[in-house]
Amino acid sequence: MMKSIAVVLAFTGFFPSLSLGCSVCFVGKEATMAAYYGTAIVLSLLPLAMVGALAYWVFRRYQQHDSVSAGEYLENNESAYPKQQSAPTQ
Amino acid sequence: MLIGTNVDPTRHQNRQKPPIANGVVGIAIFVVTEVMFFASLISAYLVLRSGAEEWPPWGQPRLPVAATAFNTVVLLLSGLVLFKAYQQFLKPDRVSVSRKMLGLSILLGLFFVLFQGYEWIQLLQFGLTMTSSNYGGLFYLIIGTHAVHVVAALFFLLHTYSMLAPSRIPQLASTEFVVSQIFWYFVVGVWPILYFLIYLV
Repeated sequence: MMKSIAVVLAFTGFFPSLSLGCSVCFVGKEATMAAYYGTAIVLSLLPLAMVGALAYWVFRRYQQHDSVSAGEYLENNESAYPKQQSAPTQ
Repeated sequence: MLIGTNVDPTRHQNRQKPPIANGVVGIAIFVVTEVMFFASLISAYLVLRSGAEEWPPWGQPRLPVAATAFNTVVLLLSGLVLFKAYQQFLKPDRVSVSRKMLGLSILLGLFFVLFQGYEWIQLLQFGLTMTSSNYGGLFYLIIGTHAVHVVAALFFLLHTYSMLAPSRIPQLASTEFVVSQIFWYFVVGVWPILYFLIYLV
């Protein structure tokens, strides 16, 4: 399995034209190739950017919510935590 | 009870009230997939178009740029009215105003779809069909897909509109309002891109 993957990667790395799969990709004009590469890059990066942004937004909202909740809880339940006692003085 | 333990005292509270409603996360993920769907359609359009000798092909009718520009303004206006409607919804005792503005937004969206339907009838009469050329096929595929999304988003908005009825508790419609808003903004936001690529360029 790993050997097959390595062979495929080597071929596509050294001979990138082999990875062009359809007639539109390699028979077309320069403009077609440019459109193909441009949209391939956009279609590859767009999902990563959107999912990353979404995950970051959810993470930030949870962080903000946790900090607000913790503050509210401490205001309402101060007795839940022991007060530090000072050492007895003579 | 909590003293001396590592238990986060706020954890239970947090789980009871999530910072983001499940519906909002759901629609956000859905919109991400929809963006990819439209991006793939646009990609196919650009690749096929760049390979054509002449675009639009000889003998095919030209698209009504000015009329669609007017329709674009209507759709953008609908999004703006929806934004204002939500602002009113957040204010106390302004639910009825918000509902009226939401109704106006729905009407503007409905106008957009009907106007586009009228435009399609004209184009079909002029000979632009799904099978007349790549141009016609791509036009109806992309613009038709968008129209289907507009209709679906209108159902979302209508559901929210019904939830804001005086006989119901408006606070319960909060998540529905946000969800339908996100979907509508997506539909409104993707249209200028399609208009630019298909009608103008």
